[in-house]
Amino acid sequence: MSATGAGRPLLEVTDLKKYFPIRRGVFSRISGWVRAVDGVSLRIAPGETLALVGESGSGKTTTGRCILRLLEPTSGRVVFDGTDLLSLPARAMRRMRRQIQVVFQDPYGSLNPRMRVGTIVREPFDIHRIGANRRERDEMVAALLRRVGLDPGMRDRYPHEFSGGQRQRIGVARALALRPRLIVADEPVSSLDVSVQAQVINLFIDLQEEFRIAYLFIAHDLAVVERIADRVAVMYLGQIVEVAARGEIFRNPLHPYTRALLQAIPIPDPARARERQVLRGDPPSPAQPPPGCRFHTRCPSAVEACPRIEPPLLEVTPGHWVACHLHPGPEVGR
Amino acid sequence: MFVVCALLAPLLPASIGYDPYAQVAPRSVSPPTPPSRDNWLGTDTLGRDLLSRLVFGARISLEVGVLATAIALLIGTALGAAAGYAGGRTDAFLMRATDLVLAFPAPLLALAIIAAVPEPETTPLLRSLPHPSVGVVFLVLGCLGWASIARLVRAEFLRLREQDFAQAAQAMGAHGARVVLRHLLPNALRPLIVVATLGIGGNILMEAWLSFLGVGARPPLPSWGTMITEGQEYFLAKPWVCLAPGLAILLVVLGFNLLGDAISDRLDTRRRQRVA
Repeated sequence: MSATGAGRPLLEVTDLKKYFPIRRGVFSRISGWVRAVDGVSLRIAPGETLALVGESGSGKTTTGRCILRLLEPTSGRVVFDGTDLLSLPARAMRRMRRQIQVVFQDPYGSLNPRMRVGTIVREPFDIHRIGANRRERDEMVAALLRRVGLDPGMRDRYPHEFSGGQRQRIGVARALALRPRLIVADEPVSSLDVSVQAQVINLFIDLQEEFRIAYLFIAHDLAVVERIADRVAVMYLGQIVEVAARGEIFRNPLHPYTRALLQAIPIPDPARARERQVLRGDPPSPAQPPPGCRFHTRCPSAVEACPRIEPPLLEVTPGHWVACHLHPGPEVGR
Repeated sequence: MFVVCALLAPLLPASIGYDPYAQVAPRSVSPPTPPSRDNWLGTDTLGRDLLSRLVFGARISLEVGVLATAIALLIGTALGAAAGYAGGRTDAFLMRATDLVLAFPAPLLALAIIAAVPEPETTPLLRSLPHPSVGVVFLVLGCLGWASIARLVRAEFLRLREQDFAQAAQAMGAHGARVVLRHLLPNALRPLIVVATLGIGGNILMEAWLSFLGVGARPPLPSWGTMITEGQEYFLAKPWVCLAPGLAILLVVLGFNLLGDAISDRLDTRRRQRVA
């Protein structure tokens, strides 16, 4: 449903759904479902960065974990380079994991506190038996650490001895070890200081150029995405509401939610202060999403149809998809 | 320190010339004698040297405490890890089993089982052990003690499994055993050590209690529990006969708790670095 350039996509996700059961009472009967991800489709071309943006609870992380098959989706298809990941048996899936790696948000939780850094980065080699012997693997580890800007001499230290930015580099080195073709980066810079954020983002960009890695780059604000993304997908309550090339999203946001996100980016120049449409309230519960357009309860420009009819994701201009009644696609016309 | 005592104990009769079974004096049945130069803690009713019995008793008590806990640890960790990692039906089944075990009053159950075992000396499995009557005790205590450990390990695994580093290992393509052994277990070790050392203390107490009731170590084996039993009739007149093993139990249990703290501190990579 979403746009991409020509050629076979590296990753194609179709109608992905992940519902979590809500259990209640003594017999833990299922009393409802949290629709964390509710019909997400996206494509990523080789070497491309697709940013997945949305506020907390919008289902971006769950989407990422379903693609990595760290969570089993309720339904949908995840096709990586022509292979349906969800139907792969465990063994084949473990082999396939070499191609798809992950960088987590929390650099404190993503490194085993009881392992030395060298061991952490060497683990992918150990698992997949890459490198003839221990020495060769250790040399590869040293090269990786250098590549992400760390001193290989620090490999005998424990994760807690490093700063947040350094730890995130360790996480990147580990993800890079297997030369993956896709990295799911789950808010990799959200917990870092702004100055360190820029460094880590630059590292991501450099590595992409060097190794031609595709990124699914998950973030909660658009400012971070501005430098790294080729295309941006905006998620709200488990659904994608708008997808477009980076420039298009920033120049010509169509969905009211995307606009609100853009207006939330602080502008350093006070003279350029613009009118702000601050979103009121919290997002509704994904256990009981509002009928019709899920955003209508907070939308500043909702119309009569919004609470009744769910707007489909339509391509309004080439490569620019939006799910909003204010922007019916050209084929629907008005 | 008590561990050292226990390890050195077999050397004792040879080196100092005290045999815990030997009756020093000709007065073979008589009131215990007070501490003296020859017998530092005096002798018991049968004229046996109390200190050497105490030292030998340490062997029995520690053997029971450590082995029972080791068995419990083995079963508990295996089942808890299986439940915590696999989840779902496996988890539900194993947890009901632990609930079942925990629902029985363990001391009474142990008492019943041990009393029901016919003559440990002739039971095939137990006959091969050095002290069959003690063997029953640690086997039974071990098989009853795993439930709380299984619960702890399961709870830790449930928590750790969701942590990013465990997820990262899975995303790297690690198989289950690797995730469990390299990522989950090492991080569950600290609470496990604490519980295990507490368990050793508890099992030593339990052994003393069982021996005191007469179902544990059998005379003439010197276990601290049997020593208290033997001393109880003279408690008012010659309290040291009871107090010495009682104090020994207290100190050992305390010692193991402190040991647990120390080990868990050593395992903390953060603290170790700070000290270094």
